[in-house]
Amino acid sequence: MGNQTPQSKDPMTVEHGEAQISRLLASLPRVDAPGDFNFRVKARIAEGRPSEAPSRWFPLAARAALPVAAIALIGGYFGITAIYSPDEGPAQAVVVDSAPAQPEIRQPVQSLPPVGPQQDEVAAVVSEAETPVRPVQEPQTVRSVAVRNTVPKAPVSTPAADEASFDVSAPIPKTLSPDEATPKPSATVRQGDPAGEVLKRIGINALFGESGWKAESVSPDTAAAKAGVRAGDVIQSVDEQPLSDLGSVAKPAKGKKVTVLRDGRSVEIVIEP
Amino acid sequence: MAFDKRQSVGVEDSQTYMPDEKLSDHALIEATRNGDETAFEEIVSRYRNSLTNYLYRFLNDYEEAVDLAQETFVRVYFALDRYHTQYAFSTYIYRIATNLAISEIRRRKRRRLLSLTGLFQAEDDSSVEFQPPDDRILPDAELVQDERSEVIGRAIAALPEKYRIPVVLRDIEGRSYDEIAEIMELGLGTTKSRISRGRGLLKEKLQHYL
Repeated sequence: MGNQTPQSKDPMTVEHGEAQISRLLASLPRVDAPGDFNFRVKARIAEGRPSEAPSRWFPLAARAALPVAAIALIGGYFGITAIYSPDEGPAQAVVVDSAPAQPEIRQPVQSLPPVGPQQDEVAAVVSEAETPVRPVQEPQTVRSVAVRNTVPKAPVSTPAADEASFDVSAPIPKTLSPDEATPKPSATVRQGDPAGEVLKRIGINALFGESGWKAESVSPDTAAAKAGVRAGDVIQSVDEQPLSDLGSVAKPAKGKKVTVLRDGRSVEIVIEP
Repeated sequence: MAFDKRQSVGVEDSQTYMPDEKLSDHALIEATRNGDETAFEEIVSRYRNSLTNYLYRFLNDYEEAVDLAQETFVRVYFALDRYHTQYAFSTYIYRIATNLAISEIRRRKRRRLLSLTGLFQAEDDSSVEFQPPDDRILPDAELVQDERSEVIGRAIAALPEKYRIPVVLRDIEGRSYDEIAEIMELGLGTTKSRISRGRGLLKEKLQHYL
């Protein structure tokens, strides 16, 4: 009962111990501020507001944001590339035309819609390069049809694909005279033809990109190659018609003069037939 | 902003600090708000030593204590518009200094600059830190006082923050329980309990000096 040790929890002992500690701490020598304390405070105030410590969450947010931004950029690039893929654009029609053996095996297209300036989605391309003059023996079979941006990667036009691409309810021309059906043996590009088609006809293989219609290559021994059009040129206009987008040319163009952007300068090139 | 742009004060200017008068802290703050930079210099002079001593005992690092004391005054100066006179100015400035000291301690922990004793301290700082016994023999009686002060200072610095702050404010700075409770934003009972607990921990460590 009375054998309490110094470590006992007796309130009086505890208070006594606390008082001892309190006196011990109070006996510690005090330290004062240095003599130039006020001056240094003035200097800090003169420097301006204290800089807040950077949030420790910021580096974490930055670390997370960078990969997300990178993924968004890459995804955006591929998305735009997919949307504006040259395989789905005017080059599709070019592929059809450039196949030399195909015009002979093509089947007649029964439901051919009228070609006009309002038919932007459907471009009727006349196979002129490989058949400069064709006898008017089968007037209704000389056209091959390509549908822009609707049937990707269809190098050869087939009747089934053509029929599926067209609205069967479209009006069918009652008569098709030989003059209408026979392709004209000239380099004239028709109204409503896609811009890529216009360039292809004069030998420029161009793709539409951020800078516009950029010549990927120029076919040798073509009018464009002879006139001096080079790969890398950005085609700005053909026959004074600007090529600013993926759309079709507004007026018929023969491709006699092109304006290209080369090394930051606009150069006019006259295409000799 | 010129800090000491007005060393001499005209009698007709009622808003300026009068060196011969003993104005209250609130009056000095009001004068500083009205553009009297000399009044703020008086505030600095009033609290610089007590703040430096408090921070020194809190951090056990004189240079850091001086730096944080200066930073405290800078923050007070730029936040005068947000200061409300419902609190005593001493409570306000000690709270800012305490928050700065706590931030500094946590920054030290992140940088792994703590002493070896820090390795035995829990992350949440809620447990009692291990303090190795100081069995060194005092070589010279003349150094007894310095040695004792150093050991006590290290023992205080090794206390968990929640005990160290109220013990230093109470037993070294002589602040009242009510003021300490306001500085720490705690209840009065909790404050007293922490002071008692902190003293008990120190007693275990400093038994040799009692």
